[in-house]
Amino acid sequence: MNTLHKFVAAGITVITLSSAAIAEEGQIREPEWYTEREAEGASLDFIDVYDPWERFNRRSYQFNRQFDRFVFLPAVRSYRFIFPGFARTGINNFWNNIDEVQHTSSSLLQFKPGKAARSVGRFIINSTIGLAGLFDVATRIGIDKVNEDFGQVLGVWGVGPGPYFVIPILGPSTLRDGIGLAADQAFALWVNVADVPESRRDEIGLALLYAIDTRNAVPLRYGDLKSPFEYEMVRFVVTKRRELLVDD
Amino acid sequence: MTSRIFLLVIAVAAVGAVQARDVANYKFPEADAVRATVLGAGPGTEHAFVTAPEIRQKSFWLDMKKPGLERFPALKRRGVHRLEFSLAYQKTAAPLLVSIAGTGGDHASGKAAVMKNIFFNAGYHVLSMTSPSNADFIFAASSTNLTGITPQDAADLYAVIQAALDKIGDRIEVTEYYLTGYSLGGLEAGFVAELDDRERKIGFTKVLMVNPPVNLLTSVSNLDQIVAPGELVAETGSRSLKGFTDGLFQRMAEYFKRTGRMDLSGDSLYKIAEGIELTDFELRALVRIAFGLSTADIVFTSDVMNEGGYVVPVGQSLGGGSTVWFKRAMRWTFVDYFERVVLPYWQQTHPEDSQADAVRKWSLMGIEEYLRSTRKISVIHNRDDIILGPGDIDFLDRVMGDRAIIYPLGGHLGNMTYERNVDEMLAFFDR
Repeated sequence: MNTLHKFVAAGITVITLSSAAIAEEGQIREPEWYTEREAEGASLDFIDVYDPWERFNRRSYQFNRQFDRFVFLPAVRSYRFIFPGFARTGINNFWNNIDEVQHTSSSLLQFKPGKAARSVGRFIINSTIGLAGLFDVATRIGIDKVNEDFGQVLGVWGVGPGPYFVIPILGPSTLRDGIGLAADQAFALWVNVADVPESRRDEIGLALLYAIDTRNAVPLRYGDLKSPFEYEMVRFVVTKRRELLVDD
Repeated sequence: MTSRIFLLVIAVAAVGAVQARDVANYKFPEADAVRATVLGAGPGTEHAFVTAPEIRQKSFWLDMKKPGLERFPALKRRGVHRLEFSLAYQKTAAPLLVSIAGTGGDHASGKAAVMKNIFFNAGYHVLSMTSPSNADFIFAASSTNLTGITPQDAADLYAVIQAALDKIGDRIEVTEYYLTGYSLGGLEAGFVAELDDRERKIGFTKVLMVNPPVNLLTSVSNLDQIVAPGELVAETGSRSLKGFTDGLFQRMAEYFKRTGRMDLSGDSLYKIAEGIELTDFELRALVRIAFGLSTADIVFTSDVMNEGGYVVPVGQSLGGGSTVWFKRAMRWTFVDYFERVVLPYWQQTHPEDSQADAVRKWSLMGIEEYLRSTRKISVIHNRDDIILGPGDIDFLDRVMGDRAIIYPLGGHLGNMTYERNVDEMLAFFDR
């Protein structure tokens, strides 16, 4: 019995030792097949995005995720509970209509009168026929929403994107767009369409409603990608998307 | 006695002689398997049930209380150990369909959501489960910290499903329990059904496998090798994936400039792909990259949890800096993972198994007798599915007979939302 126990113990030890990480603490295993493939395989440079603030950005991203989970999304859920689907669409359309003003100005600054015309057209149609934007008539009759904002304006005028920047609470962007966002809000206040943007600032309730509505409209949630590399993926997509938007 | 045996032999022969059901008169518009896989059939071909604008659903969290996770305090703080699942529910009594996501998929991912929508619209409750090949699942619920040992993955999944049903409790009224899964989820569904028949904890009465791998190694090799070595250089003149992706995005930008609109939503992706004229190489490269990303997630997670030391140095804290690890993990093919991580792990406890033996046990062959003799389980597949190898359709034909419904086209799940296919899936559960 004793011999058997010793034999089994030895067997287990052998198995455990052979399965234990041969790598020392802190070391990386780099077998030959790996180094060869690294040298000859496709270059994975696509994932490298200019991100000098990476440490801050990662923490901000995590903060946003927790903020989303504990503050923002519960508010969105209440929003969905209080306002049924039909009413939520109406509210979203209303804010979109106000945003049309910003889109108009950004298109003009970028010398895109066609787009500006479309934007003004939508605003007029929606404000008159659409009961101040509540029904997104323009989309239904085929005039697409215009997707411009001040960040893209800066881009067209030659202001580079600046570093990748995960804005606390608001989310990932590039620095140029972060500045753009602030400029947009300032411009909207100046134009003061139907008194709403100032109200948006002054009245906490309305401001929150705007924020929640915006959040509600974005389908992606932090943690949605269920990947350990979500930060890299989002960074890549956001940066590429901004490049696309500037280019068009 | 002899006459009974004689009758039995005739009966068995008769069952065995029944052919797989090859679908005739199939009007699916995409003849190229790779195009179908990446792009589907295009707008206007989808079944009405594929979208569910006012679906009633709720997400839940499960803490499977897996031992050993205290080693990863940063991840626990982020809640990675809490496995999410979702339930689309009816207000009245209805059958409950458990739906298992495909490779790397989570309960809410594109195709999982499609399955959820289809069956919610048809009047079922749908319990959507994250795939055992997803990093979240590996961390929170896998007893091996690996994926690929299908019977083990199925056992882990079975435990999660039971926990999910417990969590839902009597919020809903269930008349029957059904089971389905697409792609890898289909293979796992088969194994879960077999396990359920032995342990009888749930009692699934109908099981549908949608485009499962038949031989797991064949399937992952096919995807690993869908782009041949050296092809990237031959096609683009460079090893750079940045060059490749930049090229694609450049064409997208030009397309948006031409059409004056930019909309990155689901339906328009098809139009965009048409508009920028994706070549066969590019389509295959996209499949390869997508599969590579899933594989990287798996390789990374297993490496960290089992302290393999290939991707992350042993004992390294997981605060940040993952881009380096991403690049290391992306170097692995799924076959690498099988041969260098999963198989050695298996052979510690099954030293008598060769690679071929192990792969058999983890593939549909591993439940061949069960599939042959169990009338409640069916499979839907496509003859041109890119994950299949020679002999795989014959296997389904031989083993499952008329319970194998084979479409001539569709690639890998390219026809999943096609009207005819959805009708077929609905008909299976409605019978």
